[in-house]
Amino acid sequence: MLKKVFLLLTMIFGLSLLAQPTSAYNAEDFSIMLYPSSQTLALFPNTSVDGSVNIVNTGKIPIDFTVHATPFQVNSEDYSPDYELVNRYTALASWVQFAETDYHAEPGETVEVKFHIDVPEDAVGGGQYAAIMAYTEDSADPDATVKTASQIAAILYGRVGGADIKAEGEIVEQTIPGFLFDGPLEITETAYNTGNVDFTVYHAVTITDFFSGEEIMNANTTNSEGAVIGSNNSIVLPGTSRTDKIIWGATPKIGIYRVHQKILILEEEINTEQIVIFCPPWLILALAGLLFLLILWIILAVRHHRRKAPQVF
Amino acid sequence: MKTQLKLGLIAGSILTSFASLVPLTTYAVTKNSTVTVTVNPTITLDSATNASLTADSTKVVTTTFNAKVTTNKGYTISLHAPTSTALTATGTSDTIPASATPTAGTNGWGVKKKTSATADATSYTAITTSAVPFYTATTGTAAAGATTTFTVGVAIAPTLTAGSYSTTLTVTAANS
Repeated sequence: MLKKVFLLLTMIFGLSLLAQPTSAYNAEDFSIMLYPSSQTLALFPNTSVDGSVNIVNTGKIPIDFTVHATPFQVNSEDYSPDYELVNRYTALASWVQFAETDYHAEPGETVEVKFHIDVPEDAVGGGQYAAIMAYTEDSADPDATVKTASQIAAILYGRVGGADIKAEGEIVEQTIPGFLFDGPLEITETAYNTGNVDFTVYHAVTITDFFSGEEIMNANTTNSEGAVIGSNNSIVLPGTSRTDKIIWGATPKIGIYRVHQKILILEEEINTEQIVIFCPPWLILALAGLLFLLILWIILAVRHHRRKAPQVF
Repeated sequence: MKTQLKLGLIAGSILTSFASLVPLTTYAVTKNSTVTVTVNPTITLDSATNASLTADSTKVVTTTFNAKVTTNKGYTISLHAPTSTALTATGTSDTIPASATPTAGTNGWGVKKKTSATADATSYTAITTSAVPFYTATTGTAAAGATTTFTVGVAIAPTLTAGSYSTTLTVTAANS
């Protein structure tokens, strides 16, 4: 009897070993959230500021992550971020200190990452920009060819107060095409920051049917995913120019519309109105053909009339 | 006495009747309250699925990895390999270097940038040690998030030492 029990236990144990799943990486298990993903800080020389960002483990596995600060600038009009460029606007990255840099978060846990900023006495008034990075390798599959570690950034927009702070900028370009063969309709504005501190440009478009007056798009129009597409707020860093584009994708083949563009930059409001005509190439060709035939008919009619007129000798 | 009592009762009844005729007026005090809801900009990065493949010296083998972002503002996904841009293997000094032109028969690997949410650039980009944007979205995502799929291309020389070559790629998501 004892032998049978022992054999049964051995079988069960052996089957258990065979059935034991190997630890497998599952991409769906990893998820990390950060908020706020951007914040504005009022800074003054020879003072300190304390702040925080929150990291939430929104996945199913525990994660270990580290935090560090990097410079934050942008490269071009498409505003691609640069986390390495060091210039007079990125000293903030060296001012940021963390009491702790290594953290652990269980699934569902929110971790508050505190940071401290000591603004130097000789800090010049104007903008200062940095990114706080939360980095983890817990998203990496150890068996993959390209293992992906994950990093999310919180952008700090610092403004050092003082007599030197200068908020200046201008709109250098606006584009509203007046005639299109086909959509989409792209309305743009380009703002150039000539000061030493960032500012936000508000750009909104209203589109109405020229004949019926029906409003097609306004500042609050959203797409199918709920994102606002009729207006944007764009931050423009000092010494950079940024183009914002509002797109009307579902344009008709034929139509005439009134487009109103509104731009708010610093304390200036710019309103521009433009009639936009949608006309496909075949319609233009048809109209040109008709016009040609009309002209030809007129010429022939005049000639015919002259031939019939009596000749006087 | 009885008469006085009667008179008192009658007077009381009359007064009560008059009182009941007086309309009761309630005064509602209305005050406006301002409810302020602060919506923080947030960004979530999840399921940065990893790329695996078996290389072939006769062609450029491709695979993909995903990065899913959920955010209420426009965002950028940047890629870089801070430790090693080349694919390396233990036990050999051979490497598959980062390349913008992985070509069959020559060691090289690259990742294609996105030209839109669903379209890739025609050529590859060599991964560097500095974060380079590979995809930019001008608006926030749907509540369920948006998954961006990146294409990895790997080419090897026939003389490459056999082994498991790999590197760690950092996927950075940030609001723009």
